[in-house]
Amino acid sequence: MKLFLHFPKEIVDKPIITALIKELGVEVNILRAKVTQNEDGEMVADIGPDPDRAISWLKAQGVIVAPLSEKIVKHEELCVDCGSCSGVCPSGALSMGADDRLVFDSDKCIFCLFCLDACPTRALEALE
Amino acid sequence: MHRSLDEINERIARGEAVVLTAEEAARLREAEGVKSVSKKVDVVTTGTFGMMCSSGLFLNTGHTDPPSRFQRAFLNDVEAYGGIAAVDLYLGATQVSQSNPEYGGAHVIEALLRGEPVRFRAEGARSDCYPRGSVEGEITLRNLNQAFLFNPRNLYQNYAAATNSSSRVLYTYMGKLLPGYGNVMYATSGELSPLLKDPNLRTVGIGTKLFLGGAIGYVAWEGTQFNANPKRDAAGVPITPGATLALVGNLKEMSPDFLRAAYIPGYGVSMFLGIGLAIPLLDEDLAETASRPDSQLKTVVLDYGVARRQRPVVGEFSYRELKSGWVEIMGKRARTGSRTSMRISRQVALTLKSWIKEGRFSLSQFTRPLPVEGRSLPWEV
Repeated sequence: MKLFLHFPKEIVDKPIITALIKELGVEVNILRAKVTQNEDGEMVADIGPDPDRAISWLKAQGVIVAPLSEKIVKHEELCVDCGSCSGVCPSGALSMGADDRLVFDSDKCIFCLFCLDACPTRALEALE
Repeated sequence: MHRSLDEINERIARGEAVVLTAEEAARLREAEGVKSVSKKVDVVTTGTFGMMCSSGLFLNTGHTDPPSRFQRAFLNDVEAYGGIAAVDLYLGATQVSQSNPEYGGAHVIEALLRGEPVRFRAEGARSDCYPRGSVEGEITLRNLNQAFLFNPRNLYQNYAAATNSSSRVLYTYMGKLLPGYGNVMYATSGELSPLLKDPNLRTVGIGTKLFLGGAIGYVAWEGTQFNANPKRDAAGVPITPGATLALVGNLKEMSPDFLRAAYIPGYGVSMFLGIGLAIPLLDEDLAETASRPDSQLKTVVLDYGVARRQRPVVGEFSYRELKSGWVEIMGKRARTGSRTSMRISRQVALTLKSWIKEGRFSLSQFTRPLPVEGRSLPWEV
């Protein structure tokens, strides 16, 4: 399950992912990470095979966890289906489907956010 | 098969004309061959919906009492050019607002088209002709005497695709270009693209009627940076940027379905505009070019990582390859993305087709051909 993890700066220096893997024995595939000392950190990770246990464990450590699929929203009334966003989408989550309409496959999204400022009509939004 | 423009117009008037969009014509060609297209089809309609920066609006507000001369004018804080007669203005699509860098002329044009009121302020030198120094108020499209788009450069005949060899993200009018040949962006509707389907400009010239923003518009002149000698493939179809057109049309008759403001981070404001040409299939040569499928239309890829006027060509692809979503460039698999909406391009071609079928749009003979010679020259400064 792909998760969006937010590490408040108070815990950003702790080896939380290492502990998660060692203590719970889960598999973690880090898709994107932004960590700077003394600042809040952000990570997108695919966690399995028992994500629910991992989520409660992470929350107990002070990590803010959100499922990824709720994050990118397309505003239909603004989108002209040009494809500018799909051209910067490395995972292929955004692609042009039948009738050349933009299709968003949330399962493929790695939350890189490249698409947001690639859209000329500001039709994509990341919701916190 | 040969048919004259008059014969085609007579068939349109009788409701007998066979009209296909360029996509439909391409499918017919793939199924039955060019000869069949030439025999069966009278007119092929094309369409594109892309960002056309070199666009703008001439408007006339009518005179105030006492009269005023608009030397500096702002519409929703976007400056319009007033260096013409007293209450005539030109609002460029890419002109940026004084208060919001993501808002500009294109947004004002779209707001007017949607019937929204637009804040207006202007000032000018007082004179015996124009005693009133400044004006503030609201304008709407309905209250303007004239509001017509006059676009110095639209409808590029093919456009080079873009990639980026550098190590940083580039924010260009071709979109966001990811480092290390991370993607390829292109900006043409391919087999629906108007001027690619009549590569030698046999049926389009000054005075030609066309679809512009949902209304009937006209070719006013050759477009700026018109290039009569692009690189062409064996069949004469341009594979680098070629002809351009200057277009004119009445904003009051247009539709927001075919005109949309755009903001490109790092570049600024632009305007999506729907444009379509109807190509009469006068003979088999025109049937051949007008029905060409994406697989037989190509463009070059330029490296925007090289910040020079002459950007190096680093690839060449057919529009079928570009539209697949992925290509291999410099040994790397890269995403492709379009700057042109195929969905709305198709809607343009289909709307034009229905106009012809309903007898609302006949084909016109141009009054003067476009140049057959001349390149777009650089400026050495």
